[in-house]
This record gives sequence, structure tokens and C-alpha cells, in this order.
Amino acid sequence: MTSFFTRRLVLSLVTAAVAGGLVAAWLLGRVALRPVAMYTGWLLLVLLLGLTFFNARKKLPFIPLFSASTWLQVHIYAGWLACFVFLLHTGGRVPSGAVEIMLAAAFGLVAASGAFGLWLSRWLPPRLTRSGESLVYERIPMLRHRLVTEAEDIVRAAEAETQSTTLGDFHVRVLAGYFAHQPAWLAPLAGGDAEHHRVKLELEALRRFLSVREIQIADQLADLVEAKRNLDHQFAGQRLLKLWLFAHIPLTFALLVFTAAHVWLILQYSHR
Amino acid sequence: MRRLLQSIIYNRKLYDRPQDEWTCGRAAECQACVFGPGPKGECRATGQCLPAKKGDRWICTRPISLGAACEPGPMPDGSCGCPVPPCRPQRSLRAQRGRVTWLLFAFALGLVVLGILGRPAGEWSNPGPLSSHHAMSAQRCADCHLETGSLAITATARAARHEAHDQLCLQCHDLGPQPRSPHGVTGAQLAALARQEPADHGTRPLALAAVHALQPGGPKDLACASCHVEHQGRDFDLKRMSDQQCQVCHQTQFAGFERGHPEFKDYPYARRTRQRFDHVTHWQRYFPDAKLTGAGAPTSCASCHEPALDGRQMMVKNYEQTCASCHDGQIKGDGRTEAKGFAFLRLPGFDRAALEAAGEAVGEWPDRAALGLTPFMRRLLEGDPAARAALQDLGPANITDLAKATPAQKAAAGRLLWSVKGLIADLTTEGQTAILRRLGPRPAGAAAINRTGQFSAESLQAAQRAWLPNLLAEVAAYRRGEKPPAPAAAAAPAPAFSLAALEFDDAEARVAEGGWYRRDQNYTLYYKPGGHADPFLTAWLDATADDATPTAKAIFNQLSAETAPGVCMKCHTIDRVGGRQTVQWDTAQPQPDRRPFTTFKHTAHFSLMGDQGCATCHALDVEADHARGFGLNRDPALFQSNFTPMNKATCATCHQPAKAGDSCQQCHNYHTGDMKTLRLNPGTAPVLARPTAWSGDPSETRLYSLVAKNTRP
Repeated sequence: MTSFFTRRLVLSLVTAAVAGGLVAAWLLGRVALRPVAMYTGWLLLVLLLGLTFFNARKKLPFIPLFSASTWLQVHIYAGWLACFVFLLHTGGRVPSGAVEIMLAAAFGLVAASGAFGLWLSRWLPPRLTRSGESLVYERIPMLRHRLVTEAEDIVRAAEAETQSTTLGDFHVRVLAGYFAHQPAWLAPLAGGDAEHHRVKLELEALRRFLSVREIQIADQLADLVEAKRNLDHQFAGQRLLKLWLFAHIPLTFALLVFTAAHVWLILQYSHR
Repeated sequence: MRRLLQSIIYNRKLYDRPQDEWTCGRAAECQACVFGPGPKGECRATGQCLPAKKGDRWICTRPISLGAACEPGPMPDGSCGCPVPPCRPQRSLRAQRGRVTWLLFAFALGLVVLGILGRPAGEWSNPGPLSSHHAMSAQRCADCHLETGSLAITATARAARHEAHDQLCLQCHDLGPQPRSPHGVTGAQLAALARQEPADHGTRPLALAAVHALQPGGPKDLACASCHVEHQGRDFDLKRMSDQQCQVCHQTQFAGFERGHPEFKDYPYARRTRQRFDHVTHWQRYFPDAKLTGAGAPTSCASCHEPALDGRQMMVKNYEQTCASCHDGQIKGDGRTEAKGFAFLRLPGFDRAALEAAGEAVGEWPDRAALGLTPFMRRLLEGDPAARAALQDLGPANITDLAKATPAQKAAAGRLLWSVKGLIADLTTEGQTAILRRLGPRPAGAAAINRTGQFSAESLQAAQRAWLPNLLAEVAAYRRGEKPPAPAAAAAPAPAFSLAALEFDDAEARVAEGGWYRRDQNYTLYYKPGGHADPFLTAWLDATADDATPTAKAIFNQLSAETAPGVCMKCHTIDRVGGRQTVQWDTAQPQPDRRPFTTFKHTAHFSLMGDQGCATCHALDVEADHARGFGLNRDPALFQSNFTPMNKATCATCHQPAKAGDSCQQCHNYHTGDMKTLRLNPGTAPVLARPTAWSGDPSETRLYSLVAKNTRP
């Protein structure tokens, strides 16, 4: 089985070789006074359409066109190649026309969001795995609700069993809000566990006022607090993994519109 | 103990559908109904299950994940016994992303449509600022683009569109008769050049070698935009080309000026000088002469040469500043033993005896007239149909001895005699008008009027009185068809003013600064040149240089003889190029409409001259046979220069990449030939030329018709 490192090395080398070939062809084309901007433009269009088809391919799982993993690999390396062809196409010139500025800006944003997403998909998953139990993103609201109700059930049962309101008061004052709270955007990923630590410290401090039975119940609550910390971590991370596509995919379609306008203008006005 | 939140029991697990547009509004409370929202986001909840009928009983079908079969069971009507309150379904994350996508797509499409249909469409589609050279077309796309017509997608349509676009360029840029041909020369010229220059690929760059292998001979369809790319900014250099791009068509390719550029061949001496001037003899023999030095002989090149206004060409100063001090006397005929003027008009000698014996009426005619017709006179006679017929009938017969002439020739001689009389009478009575009428239509050039030489009818009148006193009466009678009156006395030139108290100088000496004079001894009227650039001589030389008629040739040969009065051809050369002969009156002049292949700016190099001055580059060649290129030689390309050709090493001293640069464009032009460089012709209608690959396709025809409609605003 091919290791991740070997696969990355091989595909990177192949991409670099193709890019090198393109540079050589571009240089020769320029020397030969050929319309290299036209050639690279058409190549870029083909690459863009191919890259965009990756999104369509995900919606057509019944078509036997290689695995999604293969498509993703092609998407990643063809994306890098497209960035390279874009530089060849513009010749490094900063665009100054209205359509060209919009087109270049859209391409830049799509490429940047893609690169960001690639980095995110490589950087975040190991951290989420190390954080604790892996959760399905769509179930996280339910799991949060379950934590809230479970904590309520435990505290209510403890009050009935021990005839003490110490844990009940603590739940009302601290735990209820903590379990129902939805974390801020990136705080859990950036090590923002202050709320979690505050709750754990307060729970720890409460133990000296608890009976032996209440301490056992407090341990159960501490497990739930830990589960909530992981839940928040998973939620923030997975939300980021999904939200970058809110930039990448919509901008891709805007890019296609500007590209179509650009192609139309070229076919209409170009001298070459 | 680690608390796991997700159940791993399969039938306890909810079935998630993240790809659905909508999710149940109660899912976050762990109370999602089994039916889920409808495709349009409507809640479809009725109960926790959809009871199934088994026989005549309804059975609960609640899934295990919700607690399996409920206690109350289905209602008698088959509805669920655990009704679920309706929820407000939530849009899924995927659906939200889809909405953002469509919004952005619509926004981009709106921008594009507004840009196309909106008023500032030109600004919107403008890919960038034009260079400053084309700034006046910034708001007029139609100056350079076809704004109508279908998209050019096929290769044929694109070729036709490129051709049409090039024609739009050529509306303003006159590139000569071969605008799209490399260097503006014809294919035949290119083929000839290719045959002359053997292919040599010494040390050419790898890219150039690869291109040459893939595309020998360079691109076949060079459009203007192949080299000139617009919309790159105001300060963009439209002529920017790499040296490799310049060489892509060449069969001889090299890495740089110092590394492989062919050695110069006779540069910059492509032709002989327009004036015959031997630098070697003048510098080594004449100028050092002490006497001449005292008379203002040149001491340096700058004495005679100065740069043109553009600094490129070195010009020769005018005649007065250069040659006049030594050669003015020669031109005026100082020390000349022969006549200093040209015989313009003369009473030719006729064989009177033979004519009278043949019954021809001669009338008054001097017996001592013995010389023949002058070429000028013959030219004026040819302007008279009767004289022309007489000359033709006379043929080779000698009018001074008609003993062997046929009767017809004698009759022709008789008619010619009266034509001569008529000519003199016309010139006497009409003056310059008669000359111009007989010369016929004026040739091109304002100087043609000078062929009259400011002819003085008074001078001829005096001559006529002395030579043929009864001429006017005789000619009048002859033209009325009457017999001419008998001569009163023998026609002999009477000494003019013999009783005068004062002595007259010689007639020739009396016109020291040029003019008309006569010699009664030979019945001839002369014109004496008045000095350098005499209008009479230059006008007649120009008028007859390219005239093949025998009379014109005779005039030209007489005037252009090296010993002829005025000695024009001592310095001025006669070039025969392409079958056309011209006299070179001027030295080489700047030609703004002519772009040479190689360009050089003298003033930029003055500061680089060494101790030898101009001789740093222009060294005298004492061995060269300079004289052979002049004299009877009329081919300007057949010559040996007084200077040794420049060599590449001299230029390469500075022209290296790290010093003054060695790019092709520093010294060479691509667009060469006779053209109005970058001269705008805003009123010129588009000139349509069919492409070489014209197929007659209707779409091409339509495209070309569009070019015609694409009028300038």
C-alpha cells in the first residue's frame, strides 16, 4: 500500500514536471511569437472546468468515475497546476481592466481558499482526533442537548437521594449554563478552554462540602464536563472544516461567470 | 472515566441525511421525527411512527432508536398513538452553502450583464490602459477592434479576423507596399537574401535552437499583435522584443552581438557618394598644400560635415561652405580656352547652291554659315510638326553638302531652312513663350521652367538684325504662301556698332556672371552658366537625363560631358537605378519617410571618439580604386569607398550586455522601407486586402464587409 508520504512525493514530482514542461513550452512559444496567452488561457479554462467538475462528481456518486479520494488528489494537484498556469497566462502582470481585475480577484480568492482548506484538512483532523471522541458534526446539537438533560437528570436524582441541594444549586448556578453554551468561533481551537477549567475548578472546590455519595455524583458530572469540552472542540473544528467551502465553492461559480465573460471578450476583440 | 457520547449500537443510531435540503426543527432536542421535512421545507410530522395494518389490527412501527413499540399503540383509525407536535424545519448547512453559491453566481452574472448592457461598456471590457501612443483611441474601441460580427471560433474565422484587425492597424500606420511581410520586403527579396546568407548556427541559445527545430523559418502568420501587445499600461513599450524573438525567422541565429553576429559587410558604405569626392587625394594632396590652406582648405571633418537635426546622419555642408573656395572659378570657366557657354541657337550652314539648283526658294541666308544644328535648336524644331517632318525626310543627309542628296531630301532641306527661319522669327517675336510652346508639356518638377534660361528676345532680335535683317518679312510671306522677296544684299554680318567711340569687351566676357551672348562669326547664340547650381543647366540635365530620344540624349551628353561649361559632372554623379537615370544634385539627406534596416546616431557617439576623431571609425583606404566608381559608371552600387568598412569589433568595444547593451533593436528596425512612419491618416478609408488563405466562405465575406462598415468616429 502506498504511504501518504510516497503518494505526496510522486504526485508533487509529477505536478512539478508538468509545470516545468509548461514553462518550457511557454518560453518557446514566446520566442516563436506564438500567442502563448491564448494557449495558456485555453489550458487554464480546461483546468478550471475540470476542477469544478470535482464538486459535480460528489453529487453523482452513482457514476463509476474513480473514487472520491482519487478525485480529491487530482483536484489538489490540478489546482496547484492551475495557479501556475494562471501566472503564465498573466505573465506576472497585475491586471488593470475591470473584468480582468474581477477575474484575477476571483481566481486568487478561490485559489487562496482552496489552499487554506487543504491546509485545514491536513492540520485539524489529527488535533480533533487527539482531542477525544470523534463526533458526527450534524449530531453535535443533539449531543449537546443530551448532555444538558443528562446533567439535569443526575443532579435531580442526587437531590432526591441525598436530600442535599448543594449539587442542585451548583448546577443551577454553573453547570446548566455551561452545558447549554455554544462555543465561540475559534476559541476551542485556539486553546480557549478557560470556561471549561473554571467549571472544573469550581466543581473540585465544591467537593469538600459534599458527602461521600455526592462526591461520586460529582465525579459523574466531571466526566460530563470533560465530554462537553471535547464536544465544543469537535464542533469548532468541524464547523471550520465545513465553512471554508462557503468561500471556495461560491467563489468558484463567480469565477466561472467572469471567465466566460473574459473568453467572450477575447473571442470578440482579440487581435490574435 | 471517559464519557462516550455517541452510541455504537446500530439500531440506536439515528440515520443522518446531511445532504438533504432541510433538517427537522426538533433534531437538536433529540426528538427528530422519523419522516423528516418535505423537499420544500414543510413539516411532515404526524406521530412517532406510521402504524401498519396487520389483519384487522393496527400495529405500532416506532423504531428502536425511539423506544420501539409504544404503550398506547395506534389509534382505532390507524393514526399514531404518540402524536408529535409540528416543528419548523431548519435549512441544512449544505443547502445554506448552495444558496450562497447561487447568490454569488447571480451577483457575478449581474455584474457582467450590467457591464455589457450598461453605458460604460467600453470601459468595462477594456482590459487595461492603452499606451500613450494610442491614447487618442482610449474611448474609441472601433479604431482598433471589429466591434460587430460573430465570435471568431474556427481557425479560418480567426485568421480572417486577424487580417481584418491588421487592416485596421494599417489604416493609421503606413508600412509600405508589403506591410505584413517580414521587414516589409517581398518574398522574392527574402528568398534572395536567404540564398546569399548561408545558415550558420554557431552559438545560439537553446530556446532558439528548439524553436528553429519545431518551426523552421519562423511563424507563418505574423499579425501586428504578434509583437505589439496593447492594453499593458500607458508607459508600456509596444516595441519591446527579445533578441531571440527577433531572430526566430532568421536562418542565421546567434547568442549576441559579440557572440555570433555576422561581421559587417561594407558597412556603412552601401552605395557610392552622390558627389564625386576623393577624400584620399583631397586630404593627402590638396588640403595640405600651404596655398590652399591659406585659401580656407578644411582642417578637420567638421569643416565640411555636420550632424543632421535628428543627430543620426552626418550631412555635407552646403557648396559655399565647402567646395566654393577652390572650385567656384572652375565652374564659371576661369582659365578655360574653349567657349564658356553652350551654343543654343545658330544659323546652320545650308548648301544654298544645291537648294537653288533644285528650285527651292532660300531667300536671305548667310553664305558663311557653316556649322550644323545645335541639339537645343533641334529640340525646339521638333516642337514644330513641319520641321519635325522635314528632319525626318532629310534623314542622314548633310545639309551643308547636298550634292549627293535625293530630290526629296533637297526638298526637305529647303523646308527645314524655312523652319529654322520660322523658329528664329518666333523666338524673336514671342521670346520665352515660343520656347515653352515648342518644348511641349512641362515635365515634373518646378525647376522645368528654368529651361528657358531667362531667354532674352531682345538679344536674339539684335542677332536677327545682324544676321537676317529681312527675316520677319520673309517668314511672314512664306507663311502666307507667297514667294519670299529677293534678298536686298548678301547676308553678311555687319560689325556691330563699328562707329562706336568706345571699345567693347568680348561678348563672352561681358556676361561674366552668366547669361546670353552671341558670336557673329559663326552665327551662334550662346548661354553661359552663371556659377554653381545654374538653373538653366540643372533644368535641362534633369529634363533630359531620363529621356531616350536622340535629341534629348545629345543635349544630355553635351551638358554632362566632364569638360562641358559649368563642369557639373566633375562632382555630381548620374545614377541609373531600375532603368531610370537621375542626376544627383544633393548630398545624402535625411529621409524621414524611409526607415533603414540599420540605424545609427552619430551625435550619441561623438563623446566616444578617440584621439583620431572621426577616423576612429572612418579610416581612409588609400588603396581603394575610388575613381573607378565614377566617370562613365552609372551604377551607384558599383564602387569602392574611400574608407575602410567599419568592423564589428569597433562597435563591440562598447556594445556588450553589461555596457551599452547589445539588443537587436538598438541598431536595427523591423519595419523598413519607404513609409510614413507612425503617421496618422485619419481620413483614409480602410483598404481591404484578402488574406492569402481566402476561401470565399460567406462568413469571411461578411467579416470583410464588417471591416468596411467599421468607420472611424
